[in-house]
Amino acid sequence: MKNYIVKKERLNDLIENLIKTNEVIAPVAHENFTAFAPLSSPDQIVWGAPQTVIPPKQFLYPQSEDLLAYEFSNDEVKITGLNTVKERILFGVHPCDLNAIGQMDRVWAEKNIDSNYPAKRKAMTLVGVDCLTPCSPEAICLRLGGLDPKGRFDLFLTDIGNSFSAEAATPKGEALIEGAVAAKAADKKKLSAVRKKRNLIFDKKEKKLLPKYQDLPKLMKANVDHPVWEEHGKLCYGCGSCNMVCPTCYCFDVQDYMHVSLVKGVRSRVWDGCMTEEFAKVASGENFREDRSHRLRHRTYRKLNYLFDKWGESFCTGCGRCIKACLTKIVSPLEIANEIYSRKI
Amino acid sequence: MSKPKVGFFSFTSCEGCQLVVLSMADKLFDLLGAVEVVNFREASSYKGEDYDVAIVEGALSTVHEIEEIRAIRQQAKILIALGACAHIGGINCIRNFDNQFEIKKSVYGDKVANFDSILAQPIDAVVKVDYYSRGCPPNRDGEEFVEIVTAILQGKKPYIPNFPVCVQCKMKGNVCTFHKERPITCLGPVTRAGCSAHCPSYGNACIGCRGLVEEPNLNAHQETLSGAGLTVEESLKFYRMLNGMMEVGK
Ligand code: SF4
Ligand code: SF4
Ligand code: SF4
Ligand code: SF4
Repeated sequence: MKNYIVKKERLNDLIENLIKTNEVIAPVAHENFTAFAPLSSPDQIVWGAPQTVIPPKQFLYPQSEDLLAYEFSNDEVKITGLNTVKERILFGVHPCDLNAIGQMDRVWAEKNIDSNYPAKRKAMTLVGVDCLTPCSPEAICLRLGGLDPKGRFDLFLTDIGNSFSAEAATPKGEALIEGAVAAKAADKKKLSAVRKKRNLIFDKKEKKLLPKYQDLPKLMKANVDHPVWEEHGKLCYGCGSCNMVCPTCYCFDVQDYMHVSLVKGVRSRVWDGCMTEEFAKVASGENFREDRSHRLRHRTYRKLNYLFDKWGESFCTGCGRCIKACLTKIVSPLEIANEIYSRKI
Repeated sequence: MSKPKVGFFSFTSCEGCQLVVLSMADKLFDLLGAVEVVNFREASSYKGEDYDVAIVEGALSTVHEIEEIRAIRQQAKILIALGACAHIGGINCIRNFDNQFEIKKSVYGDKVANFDSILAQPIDAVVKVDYYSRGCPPNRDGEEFVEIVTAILQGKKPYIPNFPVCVQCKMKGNVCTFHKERPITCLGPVTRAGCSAHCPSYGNACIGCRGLVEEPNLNAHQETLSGAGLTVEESLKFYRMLNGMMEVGK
């Protein structure tokens, strides 16, 4: 990791230059929220709160992505693989989302290696920005290990007054920041002080996690039949909002879109969510998770149990988006864990 | 498969659904390459009687319409309900909750005895419907309608989502109407997706024009709506705008 310090105006100049030759994506105002969108000016960037409605996963595995095109002629099928890859710089990605991308990198590189994700990922430069105060009352990042980005970026900026501290984790990140006028190497003293103060603020403001972080998988496993699943589940719409907005939900459905001429078509991958009614329904009509309570348990287990065990960290990075999105307020992984912990069965 | 012959029929409605089909531009030509249209009230005045597929828009609201739909069902191998009026009765059903005599009188005045108007109902209250192209009007680019026709030609089941509008609304990154600076109540959490969350994407609430998902969580929705300040009466009114039929069952 290399450390730099760069004046805010100089960073602005850098972004202005980058926009001229690259697609630069960053959070910009979107009603009373923000949204990742291509920049036309550095002034558009919203550096802190509010958070984007959906995380940046759309740039790695889009909502709907054409995977291949097919065409029948005589007795043959011609198949063409599709992948739209664009060089992109993502600016202003917060730690929870950086961690999620880091996790997705591991998940998508496992077993059935898919060629679309890695190509998109390789073409992406990731510039993160530190949070100095929780982005929303729903944020639980400190509690679930999402606030420390753990080097999962090319470049990471922290606001330290009239300058940014910039940490570069990759040569890509170094090259990027060295393009800024008068960016100079720096020690971490000021940065450590800012972070220390920040952690205190987060500890005061974010909802507490009652069980120990490390114990979450064990707690989940021991409470398959806890009443919390049924109590919360009965208020679930199966609306999938919590899946769509989650930076670590990556389930998809594969759809064939045959042209009405029946001679050609496209196969696409579209976002899907385990909370929806038919997610676990198979061709025979059998539904493996028919009950909403089972689906809620499954989702929570993915975050705090199965993937935690498998990869050694919580797959809820605490961004708080699902907690905000859920209209009946039943989905918070932290609150579910707390309820289970304090209501022993 | 030789080109199936298709007839379009219109009952109580604004006939906007047929217009949507007509306005599908490029897709329309693809469709016309695949099927033969023999009866299309909005497109030509030619009335053929020989059709395999009947595409029906509108709700049934007279005795005469009930006789007609029965005749159409007898002739058609496949019957597609096009649009909310045909699918769920739609806006026509609002009047089902008022005094029928008063309503008729206010519309037809002293000629009321000449009209055989009855409670409005969706097509499948009377005959079997094979496919539904949902929405008021069916989604504007006609994609789902084309999907249904394509599936029929392929002999497979069309893909129609059975999850709430919220899924597609979130995919679009919309700010939920409940979370806007000035919140608006929305039927999206119980309404079947497939419209790409058209209304919320333009700043409006979903009003449920595609009908409800198969297992809507109405208790949860009652909680959400009352949390947003709606009384039970207001919530019912909201549903009745297009989904009044669900109260009496189909
Ligand atoms: S589970 Fe919720 S809080 Fe956790 S990462 Fe996903 S959306 Fe964010
Ligand atoms: S959840 Fe935490 S890390 Fe993510 S944006 Fe909010 S404050 Fe920052
Ligand atoms: S938990 Fe909430 S957001 Fe998730 S599907 Fe259920 S109602 Fe929707
Ligand atoms: S605006 Fe309506 S459809 Fe969209 S997420 Fe909110 S409740 Fe669901």
